Amino acid sequence: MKEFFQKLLKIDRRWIFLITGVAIVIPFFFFIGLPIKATREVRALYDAVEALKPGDVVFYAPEYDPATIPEVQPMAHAFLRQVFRKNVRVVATGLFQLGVALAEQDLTLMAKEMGKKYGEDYVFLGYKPYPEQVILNMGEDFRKSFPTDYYGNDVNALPMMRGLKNYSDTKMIVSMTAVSGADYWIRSAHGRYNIPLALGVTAVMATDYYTYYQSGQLFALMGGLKGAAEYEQMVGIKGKAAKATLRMDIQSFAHLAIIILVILGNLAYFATREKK
Amino acid sequence: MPEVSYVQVIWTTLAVFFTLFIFSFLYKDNPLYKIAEHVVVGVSNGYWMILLFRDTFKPLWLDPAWNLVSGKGLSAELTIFVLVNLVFSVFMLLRLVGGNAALLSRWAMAVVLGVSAGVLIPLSVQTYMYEQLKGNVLTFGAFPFPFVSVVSQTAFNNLLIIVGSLSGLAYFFFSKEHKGVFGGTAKLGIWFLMIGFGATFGYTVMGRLSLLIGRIEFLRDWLNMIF
Repeated sequence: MKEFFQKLLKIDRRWIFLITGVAIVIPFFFFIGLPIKATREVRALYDAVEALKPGDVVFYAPEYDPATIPEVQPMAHAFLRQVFRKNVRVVATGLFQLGVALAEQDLTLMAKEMGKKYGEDYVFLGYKPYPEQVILNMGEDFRKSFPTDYYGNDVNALPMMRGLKNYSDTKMIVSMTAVSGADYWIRSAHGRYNIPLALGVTAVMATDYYTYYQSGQLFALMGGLKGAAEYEQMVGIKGKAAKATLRMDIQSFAHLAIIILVILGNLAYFATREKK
Repeated sequence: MPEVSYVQVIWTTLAVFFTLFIFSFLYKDNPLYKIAEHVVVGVSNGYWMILLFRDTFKPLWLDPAWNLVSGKGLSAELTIFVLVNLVFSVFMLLRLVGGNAALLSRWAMAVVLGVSAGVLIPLSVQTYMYEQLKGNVLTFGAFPFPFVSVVSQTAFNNLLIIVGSLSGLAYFFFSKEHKGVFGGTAKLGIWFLMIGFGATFGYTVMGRLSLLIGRIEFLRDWLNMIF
């Protein structure tokens, strides 16, 4: 037995990669539909959006690149579906240079699906560098950093922007982010202007931002694929559109494989440990 | 299944090859992986440069500057903005010239650093110290009470946060030897840190697997598109 564990500890790491790959591919063929229960921090965003009235405005800041699409895009789509369904208007920026096109694509796609019109139901201001300065500037006036929108239109010419000066004219800021820009929103939007802020972040970032949720600096927090799946369930997204929910099944199977590997690794470590 | 164009098939197939090039690193480092890596860096930089020009440099500086030069008229505020930015940009570029002229680039750097520090230091103190401390000082009714709120449903969590924060800080206090009660507190701090690292590791595994799932979905969709 000891020899087996010694061999196990010396196993080529590429076998682990292969096992992980197989553990992910197999569940693609069997959808079980494991239950997903909404947590308090994710429900807080859903409830806040549900409490909005038609015509209210939310500020939306998607900041993720193609690499993090599997985790963050389902959150973004679920959120946009919910706000558009409530006839809530959206003013958005894309302050992460590699995510601007994705931000625009998401907004256009969801607006088309929900029958929303550009300039009346939503506005995309686009990108400007130095995100923290831009965030601070927008607290004074959106037009300071964005005299024109992403498409080059004069912001004052857009019907939705009439009477919309800065964050205080919006009900909340929601950022779906995969970058450190999340800190800028906490520090310079919530910290400086005291606007209710919610974040959707990648799983890797989630533990860092729970401290801000606990302290009340964030009123809601979605972490990784699990958070996205919870939100999809609450919004009522079904079938192939519920991408995070479908992925969570595969994720759970892969987690099982990882847990078995961790247990085996620990067993091997303790079984082969030399006595002092 | 919606119809797809040849162009879409070609671009998606190219993306598939790049995905496989990146995955080939799992076996070992190789030239295909290097090609994919360099293409990502090159494309990202090229994309960003175009974005900076189109969304920032042109509307915020070039267009107002053109209005000024061509005599179309510009407000006093914008004129100052255009000229000051021009001067500091030239100063910054003088770094490339070298010698005494390069020293002028420090003026531009000084403005950037000075403004950033002035704006961000108070905000950082507010966000990372004051608000976080407030999260540890809990209320007892309406009166600030620096202990566990016994009437709260989350009393246990509150206690955990306070004990975890204090014992974690004790572990990083190196001016006193970790012995006796203080040593015990520091040891408790290690436990809290380890649990924190464990949670982070778990979330990281989840995050990385999610990305892998996304890529495999992409490969599956490509196969469906081709066949």
